[in-house]
Amino acid sequence: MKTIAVIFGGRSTEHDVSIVTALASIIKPLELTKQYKVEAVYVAKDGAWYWDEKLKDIDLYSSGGIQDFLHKSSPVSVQFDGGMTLVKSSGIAGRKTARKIDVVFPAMHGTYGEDGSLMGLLRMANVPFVGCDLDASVLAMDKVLAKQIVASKDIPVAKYEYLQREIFARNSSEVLRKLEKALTYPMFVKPAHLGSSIGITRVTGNQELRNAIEVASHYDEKVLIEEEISNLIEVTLPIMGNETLKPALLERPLTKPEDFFDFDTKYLQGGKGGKKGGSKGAQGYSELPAKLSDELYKKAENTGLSVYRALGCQGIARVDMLIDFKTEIVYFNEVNPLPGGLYAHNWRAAGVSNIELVQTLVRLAEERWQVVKQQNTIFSTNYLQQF
Amino acid sequence: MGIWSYFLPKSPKILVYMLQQVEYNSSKFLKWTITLPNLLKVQKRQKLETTARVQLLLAITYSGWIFLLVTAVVVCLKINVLFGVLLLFLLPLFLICVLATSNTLLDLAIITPKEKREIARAKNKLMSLPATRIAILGSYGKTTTKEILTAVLSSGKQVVATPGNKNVLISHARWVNSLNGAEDVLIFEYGEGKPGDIKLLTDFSHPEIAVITGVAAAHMEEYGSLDAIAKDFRHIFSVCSPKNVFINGDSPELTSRIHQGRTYFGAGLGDWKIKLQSQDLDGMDFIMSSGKKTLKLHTKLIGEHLLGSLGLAVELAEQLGLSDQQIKAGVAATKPFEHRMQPYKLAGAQIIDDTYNGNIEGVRAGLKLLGELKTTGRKIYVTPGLVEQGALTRVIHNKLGQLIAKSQPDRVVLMQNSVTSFIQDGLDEGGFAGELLIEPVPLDFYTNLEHFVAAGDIVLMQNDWPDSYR
Repeated sequence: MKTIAVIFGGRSTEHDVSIVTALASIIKPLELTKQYKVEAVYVAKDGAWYWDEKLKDIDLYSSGGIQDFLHKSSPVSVQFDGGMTLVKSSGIAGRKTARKIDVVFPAMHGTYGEDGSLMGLLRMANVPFVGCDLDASVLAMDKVLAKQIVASKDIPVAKYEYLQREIFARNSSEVLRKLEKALTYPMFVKPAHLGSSIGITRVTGNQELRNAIEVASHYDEKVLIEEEISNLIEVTLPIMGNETLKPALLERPLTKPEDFFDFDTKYLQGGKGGKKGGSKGAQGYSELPAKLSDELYKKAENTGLSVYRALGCQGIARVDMLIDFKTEIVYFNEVNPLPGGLYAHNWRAAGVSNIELVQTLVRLAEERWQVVKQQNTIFSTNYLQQF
Repeated sequence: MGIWSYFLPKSPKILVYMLQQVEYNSSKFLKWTITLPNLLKVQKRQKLETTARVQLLLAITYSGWIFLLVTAVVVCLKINVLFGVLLLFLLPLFLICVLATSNTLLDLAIITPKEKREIARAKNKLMSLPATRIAILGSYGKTTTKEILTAVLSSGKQVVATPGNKNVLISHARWVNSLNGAEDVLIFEYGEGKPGDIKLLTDFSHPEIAVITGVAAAHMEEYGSLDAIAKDFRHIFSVCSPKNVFINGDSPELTSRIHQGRTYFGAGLGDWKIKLQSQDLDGMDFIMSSGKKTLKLHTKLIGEHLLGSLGLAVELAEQLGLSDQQIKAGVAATKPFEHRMQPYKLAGAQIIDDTYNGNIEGVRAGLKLLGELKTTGRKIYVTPGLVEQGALTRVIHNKLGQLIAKSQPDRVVLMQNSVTSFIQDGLDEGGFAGELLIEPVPLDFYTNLEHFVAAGDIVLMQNDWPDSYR
């Protein structure tokens, strides 16, 4: 039986979302397959790693018991032995427990996880892992870089500018003047590397723009400012695959442009309708599949697939797009290499059960690994003999 | 190494739970414990229901458990270590004997005399009530038929029926004692567990009308053969006129063994002709016609095999004087009963819960429906198999596998137990080409079903496998 380590939590503003993704959408269905031994690896907010069966219980986090658990537990060590082995002290006469990991299933959102940092570590550890590889994760998590790459493939993107925190801090008035010259209101201000709609503000005037940039720079050193798309239909498309791609259903979050999903709306208040007492989770307030004409639906689906390929995504990702329903232009917005909860609700609606989803993702990880293993990394020279 | 589980503090509680699972039948309990099963692996599905009887049995068993452990330790320390260890090893046997003996003594000294008094009082009351008495018996389909009759007749009469699956004598007596006397129709569901049960129930309720729903292999460990079951059913004719006994003609095993009474079929009964118009997961539209009379009827029930019972309900409604409008309203009021071809939506999939079905005829009907339904997703069939099939266990489950293969589901999920390999043989013989999953922990599957299904799937879950079966 193969051992899969699910790594979640992490040094990210999306730490809590990651816990729910790992426990509900990954660990549970993986265990139900009875085909894998699943190890829960929790990365605390301070970056220490823990490995324990108790970490699979959501009550540990919702009750606040996690703090007590961390206080009593020792962080895990990771042994790079040509692969990856978790090692922890059992607490009995200094005995160590070790577990060789066959596949890693990253469940980290945002920084130090989804942004490619974890993928780099896993590449070094020589262990197969689920989802996008290092390069695609880096590109996907930098909204500016992603737009630059996608635009180079002639895929429309909203008109945008970006700035570094330090430059804004040095001469904010000049920066604002240039922005207002280049772009027209209303605009969106976004931290370049954050997901889950954290730090995003819609602005319609100079003072709002200044405030919004200050908020975004609080979270990120790089800030993206882009024009709002008129006649907007916002859609998102989960996709999985390495070479052969499988799209799920095009989904339309039921929000208005001036009232987009911020973090609270998305995760805490039960979506847009949740404020009115609906069920929890943004997904409950989506149109699934999005009601578009067949032609526009296909166009958006193809755009999503082109973006996935352009950024070199593998395993799974979710592509967000903006549609101007009058001109029927589909704009790339951003890509999410690890969609919250794997967007399992969408995959279920597309005919893929939770169990099939995680099984397929593990299979894709192993298939990619077979390709990587075949790459030659040895080049014989007589260079050292000169010394 | 299950023997070690008897030394755990929770072992008395698990033993009492298993005694409750076999309905406090000491001999069944002893039969179950004869191989000393691992107590940590037997309680998978339900919890111990706390009653006065359970509390008393727990107190006795725990006292026995503590007594033997303390005695063994004292003997080890004070008398002889070997003898003390021997005593310890006798703990499992001791616990089982203490529990079975106290349960039997409880029955003899308190419960049986009390129940006899309750039954005598109920019988006197019942004979003084003016209501029409209807008995429903059979190896399968009793509860469904009872619910259909109750729903249809209730549109014009005050009808009450024995609740749930309370179908043994003492539960009938308690139910009768609770009646207010204003009822027009009383419907009794007769449960048969061993030869003689039907006679007992018949002598108690003296029905004027009876329905025999079918004969199939059930409780075969007690009956031994279908003939023995049919013989038990024939007691109904000792109190009921054959013209008032309705026999399910769609059960060849029944009609080949009982030749009296009036037969009813899915296609009709007497002068009535029944024709199914359409069927989907929202119900069935069907027409009943007799001479110039035609009734267009709709039910929320699903399963063509239920047309016979629906037709019978219409016939009895007419006999009892209900108008056509009342009959239509009554049939329209019939809807799926809990765990019996009960459809519901889950994670975009359509689930049909038929887990209270316990016989091969019900399985056949469910699989026929599954084969006929159209879907954009997959068809998934789930079963643990059928309990209490006695000597026919292998044959019945082999047949079950063949029936599954014939309905061509995309995926079959079998709950792992002693009959799984027989079903697999049947699947192979039937040329099943789909995906087969064998689930070692059934509760994992049933309680996490939403993780196994997706939109468009149709999942038919049939049969139940209580913890007292392996």
